[in-house]
Amino acid sequence: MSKYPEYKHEKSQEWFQRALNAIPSGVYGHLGPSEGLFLPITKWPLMSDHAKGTYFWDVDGNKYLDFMCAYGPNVLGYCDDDVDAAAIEQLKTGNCTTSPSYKMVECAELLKDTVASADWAFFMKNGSDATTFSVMCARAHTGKKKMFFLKGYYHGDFQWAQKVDYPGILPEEVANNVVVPWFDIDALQQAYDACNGDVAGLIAQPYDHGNFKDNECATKEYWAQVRKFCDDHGMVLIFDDVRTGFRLDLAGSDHYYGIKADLICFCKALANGYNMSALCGGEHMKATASSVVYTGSYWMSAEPFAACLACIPKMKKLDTPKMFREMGTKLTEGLKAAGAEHGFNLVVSGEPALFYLRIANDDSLMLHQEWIAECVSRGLFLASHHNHFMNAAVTDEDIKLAIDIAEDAFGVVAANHPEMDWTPIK
Amino acid sequence: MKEAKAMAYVNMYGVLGSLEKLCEIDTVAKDVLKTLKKPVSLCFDVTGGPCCTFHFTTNGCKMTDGSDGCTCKMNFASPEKFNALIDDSKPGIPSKGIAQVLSFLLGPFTKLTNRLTELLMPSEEALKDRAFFEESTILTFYTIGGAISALANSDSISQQSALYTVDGDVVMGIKDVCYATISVKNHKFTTVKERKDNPRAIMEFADIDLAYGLFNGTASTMAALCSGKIYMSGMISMVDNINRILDRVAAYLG
Repeated sequence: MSKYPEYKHEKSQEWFQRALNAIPSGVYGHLGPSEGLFLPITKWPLMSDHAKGTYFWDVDGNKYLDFMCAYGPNVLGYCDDDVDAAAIEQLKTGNCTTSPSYKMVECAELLKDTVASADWAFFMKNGSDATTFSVMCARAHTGKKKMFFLKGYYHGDFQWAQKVDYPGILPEEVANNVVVPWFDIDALQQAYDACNGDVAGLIAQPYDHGNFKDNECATKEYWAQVRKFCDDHGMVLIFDDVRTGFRLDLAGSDHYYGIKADLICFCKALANGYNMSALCGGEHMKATASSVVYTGSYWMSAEPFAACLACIPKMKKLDTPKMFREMGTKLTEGLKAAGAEHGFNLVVSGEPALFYLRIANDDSLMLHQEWIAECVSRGLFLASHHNHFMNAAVTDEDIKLAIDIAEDAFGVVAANHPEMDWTPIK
Repeated sequence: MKEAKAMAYVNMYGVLGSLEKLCEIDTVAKDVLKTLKKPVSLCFDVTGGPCCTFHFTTNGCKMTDGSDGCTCKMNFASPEKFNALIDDSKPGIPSKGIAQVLSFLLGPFTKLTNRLTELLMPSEEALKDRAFFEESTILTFYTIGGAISALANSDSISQQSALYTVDGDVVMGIKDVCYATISVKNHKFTTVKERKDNPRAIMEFADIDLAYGLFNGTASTMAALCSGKIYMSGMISMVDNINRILDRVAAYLG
């Protein structure tokens, strides 16, 4: 009854077995079956072969319309011709050299010109590098110890950013983390008082996009209040824009919410998949950033800078945040309507550029997991319990296809549960 | 990194808590119970720790919270003293039904706990007997199940996992063999040694051999997940948090 036949993943499984023999967890982290929540694993591709635009192909030759975008880095489309050409040209010229390429300077200047709160940029490789540096800067700047986090936070996987019950984490490593609820200024004050004012700063994503829950967007009023709170208490305000950066606002998500953060972290969308991250900040934080000892073997490699120098202007030219808002809205409204036709209450939350999905017919998320699995195994790559990502290569035809596969998958799940009431939702 | 109070809860709800299932499934234990002339309800009251009563009859054993209905009672001045009962067989101070405590403790209770020890800390030789192996694994499963809630409620690190766990029931089990349900309400955990309907999350091991391998660390959780031998569905964040507590269970019971 499904018009989209289910994919098979024999070669994926073969490669994954090899991976298990050679790599802990086979594919560890968010791209793997455990953290990626491939439920059940048989429905998911495990290894890719190639990619282009908004599609990737797995090693079995299956084609996926991908709304996870490698969890964010794919912002213009996989293998973007302009970005790749710039990167390849740079590779021919020089990459990891004793004196860094002048491209680093151009890149920093571009970020200064692009990001509203940036008077400087400091480069690294991953989001965790940037968030870690930001917290070090906050402590160096204030001479204070505690850091505030907002509930459900994720700022990477370095020890300080994990939780006390995670394997390998010592209580001492997270002893200065103070978790406060979102959207509650009184709670900030109470927590500050409880710390006797020994608080270096607050690090937060621009809005509450935790997993396993509907995402909750912030308001300009909320961030204005937080900005004032930090100013009043001498705390450094850090925006972790690793996930959202350049998808809400090319000038930074703090700009989107009408404030200037003291420090802002970027990574995923900086260079369309080339490996770099950046911490940007205001002039008042520059001397502090200079004082913190922090470097890495590949942090000044030129190839990603060249990619970034091609990526950001192209995002500006396309006005990708506007594009993502419009396309994300169109896609999610279509998914919602397709679900309603089949009796599914599909809840869409978060910003359209990074939409989050949840089927609310049951409170266990089991139906949701089944639907996601049926989508993935028919070529629409979604994640079970993570926000999704838009990219600039998505076309109207792609959105139509996504909705069609999703509708087909709704039908499959409904048919698998004849015991439930699937009256269309008006 | 073990906390004495949390260890006492693990010993009470995990280790001694598995006496219920021991008396239900083990023929040696059943034979011991047959020797009881009358029901005995033995309470272990730990100052600054748990207080539970084990009601033994010729039909089995039932564990209840508190001291209601106890016919004899043993007090422990601290969690450490109670833990010494489990680790070194050092009894506490009888405070009720002294004669019954002594006769029961030295007789049937010792036989039951000795049998429990045989099954929970089996020799390689004993495990070659398939029936013993299966029974040992099942009792280990229930011990772990009880220990999860004990730690979630009392171990300072596991309490952090509990803090992030939403309300609902998580069914965990060995497929078609045995199940337990971890019920979470306001971050308090309770283990029920049966499968409840309509859970919010499920974690199920495909067979008893896999469960044994996972319990003693010889099987890879990841490999089992990837081969579909561990089935998970539903509110996976609950399973994630329980898995973090399971790491602590291993630290306490290992």
